[in-house]
Amino acid sequence: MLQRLLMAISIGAAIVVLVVLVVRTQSEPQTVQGHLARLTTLAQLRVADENATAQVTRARLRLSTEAKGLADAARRLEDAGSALATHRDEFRMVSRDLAGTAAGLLQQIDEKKSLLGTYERQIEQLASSFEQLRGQAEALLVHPALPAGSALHTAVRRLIEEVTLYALQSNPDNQQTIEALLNRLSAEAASARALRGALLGLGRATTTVLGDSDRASATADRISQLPITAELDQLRHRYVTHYAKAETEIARYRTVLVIYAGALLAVFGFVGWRLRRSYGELDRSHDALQTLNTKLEATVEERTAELRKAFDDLRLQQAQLVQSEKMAALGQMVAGVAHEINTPLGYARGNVETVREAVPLIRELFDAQASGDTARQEQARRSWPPEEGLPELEMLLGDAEYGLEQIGELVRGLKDFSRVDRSFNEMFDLNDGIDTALKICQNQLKGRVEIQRDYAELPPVPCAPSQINQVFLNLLNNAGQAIDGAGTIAIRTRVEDQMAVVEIRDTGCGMDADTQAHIFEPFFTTKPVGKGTGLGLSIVFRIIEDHRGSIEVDSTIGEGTTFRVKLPLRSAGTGGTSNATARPENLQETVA
Amino acid sequence: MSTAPPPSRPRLLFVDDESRILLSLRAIFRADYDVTTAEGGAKALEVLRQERFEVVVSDQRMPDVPGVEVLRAARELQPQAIRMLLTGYSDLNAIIASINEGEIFRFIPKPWTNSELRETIAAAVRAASVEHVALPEPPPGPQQNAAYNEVGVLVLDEDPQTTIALRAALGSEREVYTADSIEAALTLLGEHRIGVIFTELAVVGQSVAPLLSALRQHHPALVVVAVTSQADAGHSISLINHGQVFRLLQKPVATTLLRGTVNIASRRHEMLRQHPEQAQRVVADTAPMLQVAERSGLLGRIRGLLRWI
Repeated sequence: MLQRLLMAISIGAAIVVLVVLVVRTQSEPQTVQGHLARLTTLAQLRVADENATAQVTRARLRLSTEAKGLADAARRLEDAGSALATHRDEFRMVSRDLAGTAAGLLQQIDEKKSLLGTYERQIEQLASSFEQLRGQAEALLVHPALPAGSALHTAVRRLIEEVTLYALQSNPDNQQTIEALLNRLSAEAASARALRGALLGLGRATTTVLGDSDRASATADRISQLPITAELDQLRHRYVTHYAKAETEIARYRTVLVIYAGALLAVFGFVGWRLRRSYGELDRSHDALQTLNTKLEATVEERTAELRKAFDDLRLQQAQLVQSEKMAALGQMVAGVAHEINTPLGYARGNVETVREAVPLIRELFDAQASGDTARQEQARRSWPPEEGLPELEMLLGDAEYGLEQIGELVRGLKDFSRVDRSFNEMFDLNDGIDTALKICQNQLKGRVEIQRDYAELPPVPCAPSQINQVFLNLLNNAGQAIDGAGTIAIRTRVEDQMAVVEIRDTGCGMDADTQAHIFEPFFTTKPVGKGTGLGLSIVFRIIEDHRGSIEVDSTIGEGTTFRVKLPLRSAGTGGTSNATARPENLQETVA
Repeated sequence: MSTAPPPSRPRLLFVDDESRILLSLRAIFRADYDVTTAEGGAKALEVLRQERFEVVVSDQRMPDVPGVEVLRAARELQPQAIRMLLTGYSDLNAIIASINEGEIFRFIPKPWTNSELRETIAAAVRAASVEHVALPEPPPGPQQNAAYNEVGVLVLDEDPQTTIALRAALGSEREVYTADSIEAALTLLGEHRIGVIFTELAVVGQSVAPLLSALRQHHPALVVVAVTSQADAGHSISLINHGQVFRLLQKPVATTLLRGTVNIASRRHEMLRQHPEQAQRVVADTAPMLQVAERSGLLGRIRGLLRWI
């Protein structure tokens, strides 16, 4: 997630940098057309200015012609000025300094323009006053009172020449010469009366021309003093410098852009290569996966077959184990029953033998009595005294009888216990079942464990009696084994919620919670290795479950354990009957 | 009893938790012996502390004190008395314990036959008539073991583990000979001085019971220890009744137990060699097995061997 965010940010940053660089290199004032237009404007302005300055000088030299050149120059200057004005904003965009300079320049052009106007009028004035002077002089020169070649004639001519020179020159240095000539003329006028008026008039016209010429010269000076050219040069220089700088900068940016673009390209190339490679790997993994998939299917099939076989084996083994547990329980039971039978059989047989052994002695006694031989009688009585022998015979035969009865009862109990010939749904009195089981395991409990019976009247319960007997035997056996030494097993039966309840409580060692949680699991045992397969209670559990009953256990370490078996009083339907033929068969084989 | 018993009559003690058994036994033996009965193990222990007996016969399965406990107590309290187990319950562990701890003379199953029982009791009384000689105390220091070391141990077992375990337990204290057939065992017995034999119940599929009976008969000083991985009640009863085996060990045997057994068996062999009459106390009912031994020619070989020794 974080990685993705970082990726997006870096891509965004790269694009922003790229845009900035492009904008920097493409900034408006730096377009070539704009640049050229500005330079042209400046050049035209310069040309116009120089033209104006030239026209100022030329106008002086062409006093006779009209001052049309000056007006043209002023118009051109104005055109160039307005062209510059249109570019002023562009200069401002380049630099504020440049804009200021341009503004100053425009002001000066305006000033020059007005000065040119003034100058034009002054030149016109000078031209008319000069024309007037020349008329008076020509009239004087041809005046009859002034002969050609006279000194005065020469002086007048000279004056005309000097004044013309003065009027044409912007910086005349012949003012003293003119003044000297004027002084001479005024002196001449005093002596020549006929020429006096003309000479005085010439003198006044000369002064007017001189005055007009001086004013025009002053204006021309002012025009020439305007620093338009310098400022134009400065503006141009600064603009060009600035432009060059900007150009360098843009070039730098361009270089950076090129490098940056190159770098980006490299990065994209790398990413693309990586992507390509990843795709390649992905393709390969995909192929491998597919191969693996195919193999896996085969393996799974193989494993499934193995597992199925293992499961079958396990089931077989479990069945064998259940069988061997049954056999072990049976073996234990048979050993116990054998002892139970062998004991009465032992004394019954011994007693019968003893009685039979006594028979010859008794016969001898009878024979002796019949013979009437007292010595023989005495002998026979010694070997078999009837007063002792008869009660003993009675006792021995009575014991033998008792022993045989015991054996008969035991065998009946075994037969009851196995119930091989009964069905699953037989109505069975659980109290009888408990008593039968007690009889079977009596040899374990006799003399050591006290049995307390608290039986309620139980209605017959539908069940497989042989299996229920096995349950009771198992629970009683466990109870007996839990009691080390002397103790009590209390058995209580009752009816509760349509269930027959059998409670078997012992005063044995008890179990902890962990053991209690596992006792109904197959193969769980607390007995030493080889003493039990751990199937006993799991079989009990299964039998009770098959009967749709329940089994519970309560136990406290050191106090004892209570097992509570509940069986339904009514048959749960036909479900049980299907087992009727299958289940008891197992016992039939082992007991038969 | 109207006729006062002469003081020389042998005294028998019968122990059982079933009074009718005791009455029956009393009826059989009261004519010939001085019969005492104890109903239950606790009463038996009480009686054993007070009176002396030639023969003690106990049931195994009793609610208060089991028969093995009674016989073990009898062995300590009255080593002179011959001990027997009379029971209808063939619990293997009880039988092995009665052999090893009770050192019983016979194991009698219920139901019995009066005549056989009479014979057995008579044999026991004969065995009890031989004065009991206690085993010599074990030598205090290792240097005195030298005398015992001469007596070798014969292992008759196909399983090499028995020899390996025995060698490991004994180190170089004693010679250990190994035979994997009865033939080889006989040869070794003829060539070496052997006092103790450790044997499986069968080698090469052949039961060793006839051999043991024959050895009991003709080489009574030889002490037999059975070592087996397949003990069952029937074999064990046969071993004690027909072979009077000294001990019956179940494989695998702990090293310490093996060593202890060899030592006590050697001391017993030494005792039997020095007091040949003591063999009468451990005489076995060899007749059934000897017939087998005779048929197989084993007896002849052993008789020959006996001359050798």
